[in-house]
Amino acid sequence: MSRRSIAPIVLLLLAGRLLMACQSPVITTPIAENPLAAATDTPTTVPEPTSATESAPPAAEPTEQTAQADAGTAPNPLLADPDNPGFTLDGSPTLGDPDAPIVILDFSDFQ
Amino acid sequence: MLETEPQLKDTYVADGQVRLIFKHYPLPGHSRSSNAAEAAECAARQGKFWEMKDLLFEDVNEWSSSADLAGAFQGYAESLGLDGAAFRQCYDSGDAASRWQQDVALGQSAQVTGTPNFFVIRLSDSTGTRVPGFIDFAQFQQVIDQVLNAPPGQ
Repeated sequence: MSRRSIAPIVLLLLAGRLLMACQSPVITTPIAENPLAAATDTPTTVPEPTSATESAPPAAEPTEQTAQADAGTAPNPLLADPDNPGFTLDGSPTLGDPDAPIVILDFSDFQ
Repeated sequence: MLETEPQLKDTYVADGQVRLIFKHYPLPGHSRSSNAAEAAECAARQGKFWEMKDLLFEDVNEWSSSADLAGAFQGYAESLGLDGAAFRQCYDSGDAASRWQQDVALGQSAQVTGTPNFFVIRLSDSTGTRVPGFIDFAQFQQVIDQVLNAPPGQ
């Protein structure tokens, strides 16, 4: 069962969590599924090509179907890019040990 | 993350437990945020993203009201020892726009609606949690430890 097929469930869970977040303290508890990972595994939900498709194995010459299947097994775009130090596989600036077990994504705005 | 980032760097990042990833999420009401995001990405191309990011956050009142935005950004780049002409070529070309656009698309698909939003994720199994807003370092410690020690997912 690919992660892709449970993405709708994850989004539902997430929506519930967001509602709760409005009334409760800032910290949320860990969840078994990571919504962001699910999000990056569903390239069809975003308007632009996602990192998941960009970082798909070059050997693949996929039909539509296999392209979607491959997205679930493509390298995690949050991994450090060994060929481009200081950046993730999907091109974002990253700081720290490439092998660190935890990543913190910071969605921020400069103004 | 301006307040807690130095502490995170000195502890979890320094000891190899945590790697930071920056995702741009310029909000529509902030007319110059996307420009700043592109400036930071152009600095990244010369290896100084994190330094440029810090400058942009610290000096937001200065550049956000500047009559010469590109010139202000170039000044920051040069103060960091970057090649000002190369920086300016990158900035003026608009090439870096795809970086924040890609991040916004990712953020929208992950239900990010405001900033800051943090995701603390264990890479081995993608167990993670969202932190929807500012928290202090002690709270970050709590979240990181929870994610580090959570039972294996999936």
